[in-house]
Amino acid sequence: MDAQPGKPHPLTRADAGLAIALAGVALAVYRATLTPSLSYLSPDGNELATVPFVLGLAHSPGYPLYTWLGWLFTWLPLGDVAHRINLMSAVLGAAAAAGLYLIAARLLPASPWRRPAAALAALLLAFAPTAWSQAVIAEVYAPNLAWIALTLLALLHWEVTRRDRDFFLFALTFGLSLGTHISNLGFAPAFGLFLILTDRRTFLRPAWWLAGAAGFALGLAQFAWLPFRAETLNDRMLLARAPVTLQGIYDYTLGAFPQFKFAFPLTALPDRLVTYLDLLRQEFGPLGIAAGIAGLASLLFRRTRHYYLLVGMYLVHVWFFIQYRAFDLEVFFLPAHFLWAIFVAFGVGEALLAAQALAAALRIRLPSPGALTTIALPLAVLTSLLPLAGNWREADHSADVGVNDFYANAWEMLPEGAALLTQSGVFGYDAFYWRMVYGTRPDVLLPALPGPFPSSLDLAGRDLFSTTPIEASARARGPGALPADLVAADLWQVPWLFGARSEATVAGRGRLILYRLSAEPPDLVRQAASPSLPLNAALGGLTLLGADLGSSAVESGGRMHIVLYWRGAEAGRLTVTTSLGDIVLESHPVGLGLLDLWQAEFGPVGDRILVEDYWVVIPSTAAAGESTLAISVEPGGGLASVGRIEIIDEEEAFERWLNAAGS
Amino acid sequence: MAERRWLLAAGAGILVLMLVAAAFSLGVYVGEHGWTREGLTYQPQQPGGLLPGAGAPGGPGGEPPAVTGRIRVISPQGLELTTPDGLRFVEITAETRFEGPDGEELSLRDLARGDIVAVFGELQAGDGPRLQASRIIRLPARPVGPP
Repeated sequence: MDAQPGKPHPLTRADAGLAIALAGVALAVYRATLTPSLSYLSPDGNELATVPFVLGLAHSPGYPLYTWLGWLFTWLPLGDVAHRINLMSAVLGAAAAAGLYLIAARLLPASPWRRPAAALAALLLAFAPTAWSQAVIAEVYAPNLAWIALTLLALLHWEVTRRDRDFFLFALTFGLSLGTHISNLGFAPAFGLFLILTDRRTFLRPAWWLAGAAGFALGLAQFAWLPFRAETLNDRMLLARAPVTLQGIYDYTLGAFPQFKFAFPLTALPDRLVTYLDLLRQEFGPLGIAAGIAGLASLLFRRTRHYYLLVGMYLVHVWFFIQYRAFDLEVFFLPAHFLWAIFVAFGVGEALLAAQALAAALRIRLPSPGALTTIALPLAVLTSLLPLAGNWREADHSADVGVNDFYANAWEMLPEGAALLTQSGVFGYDAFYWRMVYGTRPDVLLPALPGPFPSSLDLAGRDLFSTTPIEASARARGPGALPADLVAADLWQVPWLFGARSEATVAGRGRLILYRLSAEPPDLVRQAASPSLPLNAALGGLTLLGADLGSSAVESGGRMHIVLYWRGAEAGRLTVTTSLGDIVLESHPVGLGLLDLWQAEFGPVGDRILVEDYWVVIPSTAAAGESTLAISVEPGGGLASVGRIEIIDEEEAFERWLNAAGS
Repeated sequence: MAERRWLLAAGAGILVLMLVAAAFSLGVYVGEHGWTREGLTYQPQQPGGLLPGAGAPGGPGGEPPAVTGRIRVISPQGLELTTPDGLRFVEITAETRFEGPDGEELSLRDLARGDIVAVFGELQAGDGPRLQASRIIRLPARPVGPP
C-alpha cells in the first residue's frame, strides 16, 4: 500500500473505461428524469435555456462559457432548444461524476479498493438530491461541476508532468471555469498553496509564470463577451449595471449583489454551519458524513499535499456560502459536495483497507487483489442504487410539461395583433423563449421585449392579454414587474385559459393562467341558463346546475372549453377544481376569482346564475383513452362527474410544441 | 521529513478545528432547539393545515403565497424561513406590508422567530434568485394539542 504522499496513481485505460461507464449510467438516469423543456424548477432556468441559442448575455455574472457550451448543444437534433440545454446539464453532470471518479482514482492509494471506492463516491454524488436536481434542468451548476473536475484533473496532470504547457492548460481551464460560476475564483488560494507545496522551484521560472498568466488571462478573456453582448439585456435591474464600462463589468461580475455576501454576523456562524451540515446530511446521509470525516484523515496522511489542495478549496467555499444570503442556498454548496465526495472515496477506501487488514489478522483467506476489485465494483454500483431509488421520485421531472403545454395553447388562442403582457426581464423568458428562439406569432406584441420599458402607446388598439396578474405586477418593484402605468389598473382580468400547475420552487411561478384584459365586465352572471349537460349537483354549498363542453374528444397537450353554471354563489371563498381522471387540471376561486369585484360593482348575485367560461389545458402526459371530467369544490367537498372525455394521443409533445411555435 | 511533519501537524489541527466548529455549532443548535429539526425545516400542519397555496390567505387574484414557512432569522434586510423546500430567504423593502392573521397591520418588529408566515412577492434575478416580499402575513399559531 502506498502510505507515502508520493505521486498520484497513474490512470489507466481501465480507469478511463470505467469513468465512461459511470458517466453512461448517470446520463441514463438523468435522461430518464430530464425536464422535457421549459420549467419553473429554477427561477432563471428559462432565461438560461434561451440565451445560449441567441448567443446573448445571461444575468450576472454573465456566464459566457455556459452560453457558448449551450450554443453547441442547441445544434443537437433532439427535442426542442430548451430540451437540448436541459440535456447539456445531464451530459455535463454525468461528466462531473466521471471526473470525480478519475480524480479519486488518481489520488486513492493503490489497493484493490481504489476503483470501487472512487466509483462509489462518483455515483453517490451523481444520485445525491441536489446534484441530481441540477442535472435535469437548464442551470449553471451541473456544467460548473464538470468544469471544476476538469480544472482539478488538469492540475493533477501538471503535477505529474511539470510541463509548462500543461500548466498553461490548467490555468486556461481555471480561467474558463469562471464562466460557469464566478465563485470558482475562491479556489485560487488553495491552488496557490498546492503549487507551493508541490514544487517551489517553479516559482523561479519565468516561463512557468508566463504560461500560467497567459492561460488564466485567455480563460478570463471570455468576459469580453459582456460588453460585446450587453445590448441584448432586457432586464431592468441588469440594465442598471450594464457591463459596458470597466466599472460596469466589475459591478456585473465580482461586484454583483454585495448585499448577499458575508451577510450574517459572526454570532450567526454556528447557526449557518448547522444549516450547511444539514444540507450535507441530505446529500450524503450520516454514513456519508462519517465516511467523509474518515476520508479527510486518510487524505491527510496518504496525500498530504492534496489534502491542503482539496480541504483548502472546500473550506473557502463553505466559509463563503454559509454567509451567503441567497433565496435557494442549497445549490451553491454543490462544489463543496463534489469535494466532500472525494473525501468519501478516501473514507470508503480506508474502511475497506481496514477490513482487509482485519481479515488478514484473522487469517481469513481473501481472493487475489484483482478478484477483490472485480467483486467490489458491482457492489459499489449496487450500493449507489440506494440513493438512486430513494431520490428518484423527487428528482424525476420528466412529466413537467406544464409551461410548454400552456404556452403552446396560449399562442394558438391569441387573436391576430393582440398584445401579451408577461413578466419582464429574466422571469419573462417562459414567453420570450418562443419568440426569441422560434419567432412565434410575430403579430402578437410582447411589450416586455426587446426591452423592459414598454409604453402604453404600444398597446393602443390591440386586444390585451396577460400571463401575470396586473395588479400584483404594478405594485411590485422587482424587475419582473411591468411599469405601473402600462395599463389601467381597473381593467377586468378574466382568466381565459388555465394551464396545469407546473412544478416550481416558488408557488406563484407554477401558476399558469392566460387572462383577457378588458374594460367591459365579463358575462359572469345571468338570469337564466340552459346547459347542454344538466347536473344539479350540490357541491360545497353551491349547486352546479350544469355544464357545456366544447367537445368530447381532445388531443393530449390540447385544450378543452368548459362552461359551468352555478347557483348559490355567495357561499364564501370556495375553490373549484377541474380534474380529468386522476389528473388535476386546474383550481380557481369560484367566479374565476372575480366574484368579489363583480359584486362590489353590481351588487349581490342573489338567485341569479353564476357562469364560469374558461379553457383548460389537457397535459401532454395524459394517456390516450377515456377519462371522466369532474368538478369539485373545497371546502365542503363533493365531486360531480361532468362527462366522459376521450383523450387522443396522435401527436408527440415536442411535435405539438414545435408546431405551436411555428417551427 | 521535517516539513512533512509540520504539514501533518497543521493539517491535523485544521481537521480538529473543523470538527470542533461543527460540534460547537451543533451544541448551540441542540441547546436552542433540542434534538429536533424544528430550526431547519417547516412542515405544514396536516391535514387541513397551512399548506402553501391552500389554507393560507390568498394574494391578488387568489394567488397562493410564494413561500410559507417558519421564521428562522430576522434582519432588517429580510427573513430567513424554514420551508418544506428548505431554507428560503425573502427580502424586505420599504414597500413590504405586514399583516396579522385577521388582516391587522403589523410591522417587522411584531414578527418573532418561530412565527409562521405566508410571503407574497416577486422573484428577482441575480446570482441565484431573490424573493422580494410585497406582503407578509403572520399566520395563526398552531393550536396546542392535548398533552
